[in-house]
Amino acid sequence: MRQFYNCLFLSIFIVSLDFVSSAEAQEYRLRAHHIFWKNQEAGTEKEIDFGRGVAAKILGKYPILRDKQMVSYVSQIGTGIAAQLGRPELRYYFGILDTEDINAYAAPGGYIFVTKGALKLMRNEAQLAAVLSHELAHIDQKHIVRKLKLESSDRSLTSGIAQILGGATLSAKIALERLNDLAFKMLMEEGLSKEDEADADQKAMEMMIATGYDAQSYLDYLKSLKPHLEQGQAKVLSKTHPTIDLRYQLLQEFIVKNEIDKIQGKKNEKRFQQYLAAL
Amino acid sequence: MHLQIQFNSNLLSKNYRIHIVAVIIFLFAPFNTTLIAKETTGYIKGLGSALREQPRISSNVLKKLSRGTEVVTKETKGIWQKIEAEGSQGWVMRGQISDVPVRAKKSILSQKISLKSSSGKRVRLRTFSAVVGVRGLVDKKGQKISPYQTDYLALEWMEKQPTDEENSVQFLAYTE
Repeated sequence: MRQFYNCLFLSIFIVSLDFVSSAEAQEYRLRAHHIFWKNQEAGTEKEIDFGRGVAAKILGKYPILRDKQMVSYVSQIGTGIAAQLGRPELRYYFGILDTEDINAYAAPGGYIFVTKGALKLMRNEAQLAAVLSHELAHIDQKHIVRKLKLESSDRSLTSGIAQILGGATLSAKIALERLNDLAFKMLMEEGLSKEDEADADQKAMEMMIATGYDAQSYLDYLKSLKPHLEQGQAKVLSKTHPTIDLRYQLLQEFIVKNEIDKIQGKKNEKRFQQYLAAL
Repeated sequence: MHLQIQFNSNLLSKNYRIHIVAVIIFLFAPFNTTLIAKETTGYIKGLGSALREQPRISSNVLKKLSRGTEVVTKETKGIWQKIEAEGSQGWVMRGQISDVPVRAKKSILSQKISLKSSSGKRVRLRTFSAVVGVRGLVDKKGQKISPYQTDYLALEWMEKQPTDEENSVQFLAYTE
C-alpha cells in the first residue's frame, strides 16, 4: 500500500512538472511568435521589393498590353479569388503580356502575368480562373522564395538574404539584382520543381471549388495546351512545367479523392467571350 | 509456504505494473500538452468565407465569417477543415484559413524617387530598383550587372490599374 502511495505521489509530481513545462513552453512560444511576427512584417516588404524587380524583367522581355478593359476583367477575376483565398497582406497586380506565346507567370510579392496567347486559347472564365489561381498559388506558397532559399524553415528570411534585400549599399543592390536574375531565369528557363507545380495545380483547383467555378474546365485547358506544346508555341511552358499528361493524371486523382467530380461549377463562357472579342 | 510465495509474487507483479505506468507517464510527459492541445487557433483569410454545415460545397451556409475572425480548428477531411467560430461549428475549405493572424496590406509603392530618364523625360519612379531600371545597375567598373532588360514604366502602369477587393468578389459571384 505504501508503495502505491509512493507511485501516486510520483505521478502527481510528474503531472505538476508537466504544467510547469507547459507554462514555460507557452512563454517561449509567445516570445518566438513576437520575433516571428516582426520578421514577417519586414519579410513581406522585402518579398514585394524582390518580386517587383522580377516583374520588371518579365516586362522587359514581353511588352505589356495596355487594354484597360481586358486588364480590368482579368484583374477583377484574380483579385476576387485572391480576396477569398490569397494572402491578405498582399495586394495583387495583374498584367497581360502582348505576345502570342502561351504562358502565365507569377513573381513573388503579388505580380501575376498572363499572355495574350494563353487568353486566346481559353474557352471560358473558369479556365481563366484556373490559370490565375495556379499563379496565385505559386505566390501564396512562396515557391520561388523557397527554391532560392530566401526563407528559413521558420518562415523568416535567412539573415544573409535579409541584409541583401534590405541593404542600401551598392553591393547589396548588386546582390539583389543577381537574385532577381536567378528568379527570372527560373521562371523563363528552368522552372520550379514538379512537386511545386503539382502543388500549385491542386491549390488552384481548391480555389476554383471555393469560388464556384467548374473544375473540369481546368483539365480541359490543360488538354488544350498539349498540341501547342508539341508545336513549340508554348515551348517555354514545356521546359518549365511537368508534362501535361502527368499534371492531368495527378489532378484527376485529386479530383476523385476529394469527390470534386460531382460538383457542377460555373463557366461564364458568354462573359468571357465578350471581353475576349476586343482582343 | 507455497501460499506465501504466491502472494508475494502477486504483490511484486502489481508493483511492477504501477512502476511501468509511472515510467510511461514520465516518458510521455513532454508530449502531454501536444496531445491535449489537438485543437489549434486559425484565422479566416478571406472576405466573407462561408461556414458550411457539411464538408461539401453544396451544403447549407451557416454564416459568412469576416476576414481575421479567430477560429478553433478541429478535424480535417480532405480539402475541408472543421472549425468553431463565433459560437458555431461548421466546415470551411482549408485554403481559407491562415495559421497566423491576418495582417494589413503591405505596399512599397509610396517610396518615390524623381529623376530624368535616358530620353531626358522627367519621370517619377518608386523605389531604388526603379532607378536601376532606368539607368541600369552598373558595378564600380561601369559594367552592367544584369543581362536582362527591365521596363519599370510598364510595371508602374500595371500597378496603377484600379482594383477593389469587395467589388471583385461581387464580380466573381456572377453566374450565367
